[in-house]
Amino acid sequence: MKLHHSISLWGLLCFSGAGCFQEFNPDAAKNAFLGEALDAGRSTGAAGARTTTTTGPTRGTTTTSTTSSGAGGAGGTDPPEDLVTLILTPPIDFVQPDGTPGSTTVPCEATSAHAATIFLLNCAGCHGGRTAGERQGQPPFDYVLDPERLMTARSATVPDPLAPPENQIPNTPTFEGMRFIVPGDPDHSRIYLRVTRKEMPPPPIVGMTDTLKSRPNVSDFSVLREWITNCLEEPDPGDGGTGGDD
Amino acid sequence: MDRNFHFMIRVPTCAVGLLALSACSDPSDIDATSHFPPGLTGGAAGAGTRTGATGTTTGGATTTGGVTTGAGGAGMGEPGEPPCPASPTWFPTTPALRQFKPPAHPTTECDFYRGGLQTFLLATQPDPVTGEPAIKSLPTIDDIFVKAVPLPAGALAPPGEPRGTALRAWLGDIKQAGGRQILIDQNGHTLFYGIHVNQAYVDFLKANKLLTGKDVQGADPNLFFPAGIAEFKTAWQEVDDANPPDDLDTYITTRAWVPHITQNATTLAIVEDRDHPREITVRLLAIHAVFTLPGHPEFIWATMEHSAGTPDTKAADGMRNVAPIDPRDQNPTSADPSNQNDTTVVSMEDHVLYKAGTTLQAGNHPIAENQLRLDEPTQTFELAGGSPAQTSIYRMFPASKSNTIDPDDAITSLNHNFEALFLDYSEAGSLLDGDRRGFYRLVGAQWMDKPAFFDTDKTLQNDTTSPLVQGIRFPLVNQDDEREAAKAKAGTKTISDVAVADLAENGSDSAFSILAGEDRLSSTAMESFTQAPDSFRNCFTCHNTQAVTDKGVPLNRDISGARLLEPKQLNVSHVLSQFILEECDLPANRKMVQNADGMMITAIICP
Repeated sequence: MKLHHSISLWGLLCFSGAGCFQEFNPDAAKNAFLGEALDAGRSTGAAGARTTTTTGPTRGTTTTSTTSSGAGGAGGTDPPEDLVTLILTPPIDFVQPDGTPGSTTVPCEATSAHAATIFLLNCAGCHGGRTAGERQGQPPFDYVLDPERLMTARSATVPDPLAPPENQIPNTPTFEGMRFIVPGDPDHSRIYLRVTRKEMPPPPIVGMTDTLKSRPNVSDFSVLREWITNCLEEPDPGDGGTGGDD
Repeated sequence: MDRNFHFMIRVPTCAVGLLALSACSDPSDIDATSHFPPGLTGGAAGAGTRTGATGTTTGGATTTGGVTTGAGGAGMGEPGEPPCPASPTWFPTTPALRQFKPPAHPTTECDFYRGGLQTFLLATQPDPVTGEPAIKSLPTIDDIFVKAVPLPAGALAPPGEPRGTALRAWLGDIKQAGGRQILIDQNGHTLFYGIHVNQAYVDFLKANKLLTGKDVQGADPNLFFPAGIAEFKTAWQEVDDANPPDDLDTYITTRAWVPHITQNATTLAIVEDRDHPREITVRLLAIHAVFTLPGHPEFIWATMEHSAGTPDTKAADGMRNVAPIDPRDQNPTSADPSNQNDTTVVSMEDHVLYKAGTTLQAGNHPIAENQLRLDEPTQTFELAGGSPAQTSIYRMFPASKSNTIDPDDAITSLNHNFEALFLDYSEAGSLLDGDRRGFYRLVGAQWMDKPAFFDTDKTLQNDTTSPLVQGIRFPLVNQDDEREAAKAKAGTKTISDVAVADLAENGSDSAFSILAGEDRLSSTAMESFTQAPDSFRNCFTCHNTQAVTDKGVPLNRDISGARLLEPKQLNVSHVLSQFILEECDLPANRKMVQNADGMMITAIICP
């Protein structure tokens, strides 16, 4: 029986305590959205002692420290001499909201880009704030592409179930509306609930053709849930919230 | 570790001679017919000579002196297909799985396969002190739910400690899902199956107050599993402590409390008593490692099985010693989709679940319970006539794909890299004691390539129920351009015809496929008898969002069965339905009810 004769230099690197992709700061992408995610996605993925850069939309890895070629094989079957041995944690590829490819080592950067795309495709047409037509609602809600504002904004009409009972009475000075997004808590995030309950975007009128090009689906809900649960951090207190008709 | 990876004994496979075993009838009365359109008869293509993995390097990768640069294409079958790497951090202690939504087709599927392998590694991580696999301490159904009749005090081990006590088995479920058939190994023993979940699964159920039978049955049909959930199904074989197999130290092993088996003298029904267990040594043959990612509430269904040596990047390498493949390395033909007329001997070598000399037509058949005779003191079975009872299992689809015998390049590459990774750690002496995870290989995985179609009461199949076969408009799912091109090229053919033809040719790589990965994926140890394309074709055949019955299959395939759960997105996991079955299946709880389509059916209603 022939033995497997792969020789990989990764071992030397990792045994010496070199950082690996999974040890990166997972919080680095928190609150990243549209622009931030775009920038982050273009960054290269330095990996501790490794020399690793990411390129392009597919697994474009360039590594100078992690591979060997021509893994041997035992007798009896064709040895997989054509297989390259590759020991590394690959970067995460994703598509930016503008359609360009991104690559990152931080999972939340990819998730933030996916969340931004979902809002862009399904919500921004009415609430994107980029044109006069994207300021719908009463009062206008035009910042669905701005996660910082989503985290500080509160509903003008729906009370916050987490607020004291006396602060849940609409049209009173102490009224606390439900927050649009509560980092770490999708089930108390007004935006998440309205989308997953299929209240938003508004369902098509019965008997009429659905004019929307896209509607969020369960897979999208899953992405939004992950984004709110694990990829956002509470904004600094004192940022102030703006009421909106969600 | 007990044994160096270099010295694994390879079990060669060859095919010589003929030996027919009598085929036994399938005791299942379920509707095992497939629901796919003409032309999708399942698995006919791909028979013949292996063509993949010829070592041209294309797509931008160059390999020079141990250095790889560029965008992959490392000698894989598909031009431009990049290698699928193993992470150096997987050993000695595997980190948590990164949570992100991987790209869909036509990008490489590597991320999904890597996720499956890493989830397996997490589940089988040896304890640094005891060497016990982590899965032994993960929650089971007994641990998760609140039973109407609680188990006796002390029946459950404290949370986080190895499961099982002298009052309660943690392994059991000797009957397989789907047809409730019993696999009998070459020693006359059944296998023992385990179901475990990760803590995130438990936390999810607690957060949604789904801990009793009534609450589970009343769960919101649109509630879905979030990212980070994992569940595991394991297949364990009893080990004779007095005469252990030579290669035992290549297996993950443990001591386990398993049910005491009895057989009713009158009905001959075989019954498990989990409350009077016995403790035995078991070895892990195979494991389903199933997990969610952001955007994939349907779960990624990965499965691993034991390997006997290197190189083992695919079943055709001949190292999978649980069960062999067709020696011709081919899929069943459309003329004989279950190999019922094929007298080819699969192998002249014994495998763990296969008796040397068994033919294709005699393999993969269960033995009816009324033909089995249990010797209760030894807990072994023989046939009614006194001859040894053995089921003989082989893998029907070598690459677990309907349209080809060539495994996905990413799986081949990943298994190769995983092999190298484990070997290097082994050589460096850097593995934890008892770490045998490198002796297992990824068979395949399945998930939704277009998870936008995941919803309540869906079959999740590439058959006539698929929206892409039906031609239903659904915007913004991947490969729109490829589908449009195929339709344009097809001229006057209907969208359905175009989709059917493309799916038959390209399987789950088709632009019309809502699924990805291995569309004929089964574990030879867990779905041994339902591998044929006219049975349960893949994971989603049973693990979908339709109503589920007491056989663990969708109601529309088992209309005479008793419904456990109405259509729900949570039904993809059978942990919930299994709990309902165990908790509420009493005569008083079986009611005749009207189904959503107006038909009267039997339903098990938890009080």
